[in-house]
Amino acid sequence: MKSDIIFIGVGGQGILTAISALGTSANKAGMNLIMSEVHGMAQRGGTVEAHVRIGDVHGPLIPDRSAEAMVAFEPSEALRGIGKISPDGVILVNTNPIYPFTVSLGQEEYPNIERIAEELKGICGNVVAFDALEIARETGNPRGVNMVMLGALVGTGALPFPPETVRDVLPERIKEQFLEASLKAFDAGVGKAAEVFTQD
Amino acid sequence: MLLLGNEAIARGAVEAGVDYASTYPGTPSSEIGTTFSRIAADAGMYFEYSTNEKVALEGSAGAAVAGLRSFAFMKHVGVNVASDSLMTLATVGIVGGMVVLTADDPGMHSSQNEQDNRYYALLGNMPMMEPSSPAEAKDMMVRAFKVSEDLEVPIFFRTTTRINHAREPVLLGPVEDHHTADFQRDPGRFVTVPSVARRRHPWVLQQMEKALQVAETAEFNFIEGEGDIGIITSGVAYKYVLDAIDRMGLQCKVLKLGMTNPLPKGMITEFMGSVDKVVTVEEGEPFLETQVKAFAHDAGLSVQIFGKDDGHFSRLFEYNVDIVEAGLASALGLEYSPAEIPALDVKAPSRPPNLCPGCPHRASYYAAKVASKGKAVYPMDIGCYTLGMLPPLEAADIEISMGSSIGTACGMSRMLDEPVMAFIGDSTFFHSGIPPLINAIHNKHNFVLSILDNRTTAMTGHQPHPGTPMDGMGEKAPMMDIPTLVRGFGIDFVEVVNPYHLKETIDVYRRALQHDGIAVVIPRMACALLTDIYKRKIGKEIIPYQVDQEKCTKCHVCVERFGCVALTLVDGVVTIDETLCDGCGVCAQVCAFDAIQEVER
Repeated sequence: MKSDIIFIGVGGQGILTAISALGTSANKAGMNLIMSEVHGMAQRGGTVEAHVRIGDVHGPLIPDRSAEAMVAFEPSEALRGIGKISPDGVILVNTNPIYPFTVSLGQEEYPNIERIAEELKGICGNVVAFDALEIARETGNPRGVNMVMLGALVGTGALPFPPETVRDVLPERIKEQFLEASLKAFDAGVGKAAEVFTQD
Repeated sequence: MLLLGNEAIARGAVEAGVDYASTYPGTPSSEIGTTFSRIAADAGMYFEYSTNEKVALEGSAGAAVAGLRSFAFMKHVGVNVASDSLMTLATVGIVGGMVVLTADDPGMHSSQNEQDNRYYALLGNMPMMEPSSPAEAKDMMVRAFKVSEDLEVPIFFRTTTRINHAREPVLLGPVEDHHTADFQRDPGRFVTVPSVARRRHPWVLQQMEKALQVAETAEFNFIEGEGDIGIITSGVAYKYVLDAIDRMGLQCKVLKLGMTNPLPKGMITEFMGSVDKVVTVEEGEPFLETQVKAFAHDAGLSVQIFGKDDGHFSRLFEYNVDIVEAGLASALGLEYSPAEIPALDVKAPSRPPNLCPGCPHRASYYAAKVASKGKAVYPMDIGCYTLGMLPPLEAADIEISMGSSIGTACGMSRMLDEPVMAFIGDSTFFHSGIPPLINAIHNKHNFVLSILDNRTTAMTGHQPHPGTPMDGMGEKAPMMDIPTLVRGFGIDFVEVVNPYHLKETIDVYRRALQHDGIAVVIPRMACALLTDIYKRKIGKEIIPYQVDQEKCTKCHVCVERFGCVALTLVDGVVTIDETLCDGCGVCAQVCAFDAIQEVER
């Protein structure tokens, strides 16, 4: 029994905070786990990829095509992570793009978002694509994309431990002034995934 | 407790009662330093960011010969800098326990080469330990200090990126007491004149014999599983082996080595004698493989040994489960079909790292390129400013190691007809820029040196350096003034300029290029990331810039020559991404048509 989850997105989106909350809760639930953070050279703007491995696993990196879930904070980054997702896995993807400078400076093109979603569906049946930034804004917390995505992961029911454990650790991982907004964003994320993954 | 590998390593040192720790920041080892910086005062220990790795090693050596426990840590290429002292310290030995950590970077996530530092342990006759996970690294640190103290030699502790930057639950142990400094004069041991050195070499060989006994019984060297196939492995590769044999359902015996110098020859020989085939699985060079083959030869074993020499495994880059599965299958002649990576019709645009919006270095490079009309040779140095190599700035022609910009500029300016403009960061200058600069003056070389002073060691996470008013303990420190320093060397062209004042900066570079001899230009402006943190703290708003489309002539100089990542070009129209813009205003000065202005609030 194992649960491999790949997180992918862009520097500054709060991926490391999200995986730290996830890891802490898995640890509290008594699960074996190891996670690995891929650091890039730039402090800002580069791809961030993190592997979270829970259960009967050993090494810090997820084998190809074996992740139970991919949490993509940015649509084009989801394409970069597809080598890891299992054909039976679930992909959660934020549809709000962040253009790399190669695109903004006119050197490369950014693919059409709907085409990205189609492409992802061709690789893995369970794709949940939604605008996490919009959801975060609705909860009054535009910087809460990471909490929406983490909530969505919990909402899929894919985690091998009680999902409320994740919400319970947020108070110790997040500064008090941001906590309420973060919890709102998290709950909205849970709700978004629950719409899709209801009792099946 | 869930700890990052580097935090677990720091914790291990604290549990061992470490008294003195020193480093120069370098990825993937940097967070060990940031952890100490946070806890040193509370833990009752001393921690410093030294000017470079050699000094860090020497400081720790000084503490360890006085009976204290000390810890010097650095990235793999940092050991090259420290190696002059390390190779001799290894023969002199120490009195208190001392651990020297090397953080190797297979795959070169943030490094200039992929050297396998395990060979330093062989070269210097140092016992070596190699953990396979953060939790093991913590336990091994505690043990390393004890072994070091027992054998009176420093222990070489080899980690890799996947240990330093992995996170897992770690069981905390008790914290030992600190030690009292008590230096016993012993010049016949510690002063390495040749007559002393001749006694030290046999001594260290004798200590390595004792270390062999430790290796033969160490709890970090163990055998798991049953079968006719034997796998010998170390480091994080051990974890990939465990994942791989689970997935393949492979019946085999695994010899996991945690102490990898000296190798436990007896244990390995016995292991190889108990199986039909041996596969060595290790990242990097065939360090284990070469030695275990020699052991098999010495014991007259005819067992087949597979690994890198026969091409089943690579000497290149980082390993993972898939690579290890493929290698094992290839070595053992098993069926293997790799996971199929789907081909995509749509392609993700590349997202390479770049200089941040507001980065003062971008302005400095732009000014230097304008002043030299792009016709100089540009020796570059190591730091985030190396990204000045990217288009459109392309301000880098050669970069090999810390401080090498100035050294290579000496040779190039002497032999080439083109002007030479070298760039080095402030922290790098203190690290290893001073001797080559003195060389340049003494030998009357002729080039422009920019010391890019952004008031921090930015690349590794904003550590202090001798030019900043704070030290590793978080205490006030005297601030070394770079212009005063270089004027003291006798350089008469030394100009400090704010790179955000573009015209003035270009003018300084023009005059510097006219100067006969060494001209030092010091563009001084704090790292934009630090400034942002400060602005947030004092509640000062960042006011972004915008493009006045009526004034914009669509010449695209801002995008094509300056290239700040906040500029956006869509269908020939340039706009500025307000969420990215740092408000530095340099692009507004690049624009000849006054088309870029502050957003009105």
